[in-house]
Amino acid sequence: MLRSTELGIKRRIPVGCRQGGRGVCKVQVFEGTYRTRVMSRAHVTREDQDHGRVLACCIWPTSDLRIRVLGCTKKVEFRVSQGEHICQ
Amino acid sequence: MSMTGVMRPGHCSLRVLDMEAAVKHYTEVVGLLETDRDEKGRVYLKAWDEQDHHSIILREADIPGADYIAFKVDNKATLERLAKAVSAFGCKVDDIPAGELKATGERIRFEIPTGHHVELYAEKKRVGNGMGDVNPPPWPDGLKGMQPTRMDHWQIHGVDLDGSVELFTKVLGFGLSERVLDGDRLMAAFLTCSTKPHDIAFIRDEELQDRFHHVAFYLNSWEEVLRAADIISKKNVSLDIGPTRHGITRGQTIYFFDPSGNRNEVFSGGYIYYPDSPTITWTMEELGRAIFYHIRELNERFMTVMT
Repeated sequence: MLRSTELGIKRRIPVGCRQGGRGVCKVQVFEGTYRTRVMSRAHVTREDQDHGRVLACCIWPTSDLRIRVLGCTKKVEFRVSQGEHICQ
Repeated sequence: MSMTGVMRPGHCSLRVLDMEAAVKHYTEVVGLLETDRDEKGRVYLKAWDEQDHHSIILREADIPGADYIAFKVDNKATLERLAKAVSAFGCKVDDIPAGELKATGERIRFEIPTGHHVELYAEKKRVGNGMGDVNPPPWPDGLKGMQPTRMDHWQIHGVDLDGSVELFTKVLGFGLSERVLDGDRLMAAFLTCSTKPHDIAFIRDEELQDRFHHVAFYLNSWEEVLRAADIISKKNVSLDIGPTRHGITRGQTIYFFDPSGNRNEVFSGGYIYYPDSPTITWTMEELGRAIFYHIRELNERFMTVMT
């Protein structure tokens, strides 16, 4: 998902390593479904993952999502539609 | 000067989130050779022109980063001498028995002032570079990816920069080839135990200890750096920055991430450092040029994204 936002569709999620290692792109997913890949437990605990706090570079939306960027000083919320998952 | 004492970076253990993806990256993208696996599931790799059994160890874990970095010393007497000296400096020294890593003799491991775990060892099985020692060809057949000749150096960050630099220069015998100063305050130190411009780089972190910035592999030319950049795009690898040149060390470089978010560098160039070479100083107002000589400004990700 991060890749689609990085390409300019949203451009609102900070980009780190794009590989689940650093936690720069952590988001809170409020609504919607997605697939995940493995990500660093230093930044996403099991509890985080159970509550939708995940790394944008490691999720593939399977429906439209409503998300908020974490680790940002200002509150950034937006929708990501299902077609936007071009993550590497 | 003949090279004595600490000779060179020898190996490092990298934590990876997905072993299969990591092995594919390090063998097919970077172009290292897999040399072994062990009963703990660790995978051993080397660059093609390295003579010893391995220089990279991959270990599957749920947090990426580096477990330890290791330098090879010239003999067992040096290992014993440095174990005592490091202990006298104030670091707790642990003995790791021979065979804990495959093909590797006894190691000592200690935590340095910046919080990283550093090892020294004197013996590792020599497997050669596949071309023999008599009338060898210049390079082997069948290589993949970027094809670096060796694992070259690491960059690591921590709070007690002065402590780690003191340990490396006064106890382990490293030279200070280049540094970044903010007024009188040391912000970065590039240290060498050889004739390379750096064998390890330390950067000050104002808050966090034991940060791993990157492991670097050496390429023979700028042309090979450009080819590495082609491979990064061709194989859809996560790019950090480059190709470009560093002011510090003069290296021609490109940075990218492995599938667990550990940063890799491949680079070429540099210069010869001798024990009587002057220490080159970079000032904070020229930091952009020091790090990225062409764009002359720092990118935030390069300074903050670490495992």
